Amino acid sequence: MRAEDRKIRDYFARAIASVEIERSSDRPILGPRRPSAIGIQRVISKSLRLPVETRTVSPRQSGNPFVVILFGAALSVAASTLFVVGLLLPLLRASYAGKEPVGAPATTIAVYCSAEDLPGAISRGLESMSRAVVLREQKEAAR
Amino acid sequence: MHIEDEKIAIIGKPFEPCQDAGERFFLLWRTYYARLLTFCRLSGSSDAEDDVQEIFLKIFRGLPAYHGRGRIESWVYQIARNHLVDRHRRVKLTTESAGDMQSVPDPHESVSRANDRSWCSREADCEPIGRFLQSLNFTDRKISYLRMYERMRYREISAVLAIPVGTIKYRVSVIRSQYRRFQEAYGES
Repeated sequence: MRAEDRKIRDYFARAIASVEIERSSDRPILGPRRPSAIGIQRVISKSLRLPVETRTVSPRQSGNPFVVILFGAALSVAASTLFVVGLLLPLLRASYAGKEPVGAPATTIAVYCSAEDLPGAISRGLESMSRAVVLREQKEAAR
Repeated sequence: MHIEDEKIAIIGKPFEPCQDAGERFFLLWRTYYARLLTFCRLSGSSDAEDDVQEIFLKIFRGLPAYHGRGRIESWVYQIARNHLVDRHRRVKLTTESAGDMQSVPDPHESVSRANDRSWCSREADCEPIGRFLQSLNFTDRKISYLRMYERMRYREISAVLAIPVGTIKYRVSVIRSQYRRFQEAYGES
């Protein structure tokens, strides 16, 4: 390998290593974020370290906003892989209290995980969302 | 930093339904997250984390169709590149429909130089080589990344970036000579 190639390669290796460190650092999950589905997606993804997908559904589709519906459906995509969908409207509503109009569309969060990881992912998902809500409330109270 | 041979063997083998799909996906996730994030940042993505997220969803959906032809790196980066191109097009369409022609981004030069520093760490930015890479356009950065870090062959880079092989070879030689000149100018050993 040429010397200049090696230097550039080493530089990229350091850049990637710094991304890994940044990713593994124990930062609060509720950093500055946008009150949008994509912000939620990032929070959940960082917390679970799993790929997640968000879709917006209408308030009517989301059902009763006061009932916590999480991970409502499980659909088999491949034998050992599950596509888990959860409606997080109440948690989002609490998380973004005062920021979103009443009756705002709910957000569907899909978490991709293996069948074995499903129970853990559900509990971690619940935990992270609860933590997000608590942190948001603390932040609001501090103001 | 490169994945070990055994991991390549697991990820790169033809997909068979009912066979460790979850395990394979998690391996991809762990192996490529940081690399794809760097690639997206090199491509000028202002929201690289969201882009990586969506790229992984596409990988997840495409995994059953992956038949082990070609290197897994090429397949993954092709998905990433296609996603970034699609996103640039969407941004362009949205901006055009809003009548704001002034801010239509170029597919390869999509962010301002102010955002351009987000692709590597601040400490790394201070290195002369970091400054050199900052001075390259997005395409040349991606070429240098795929060639020098991922050690892809010219034809693989050509497939990933949809640029002719001859152009890739030419750009690599230009990048090398530019870097040599940069080293001379800044007295870097």
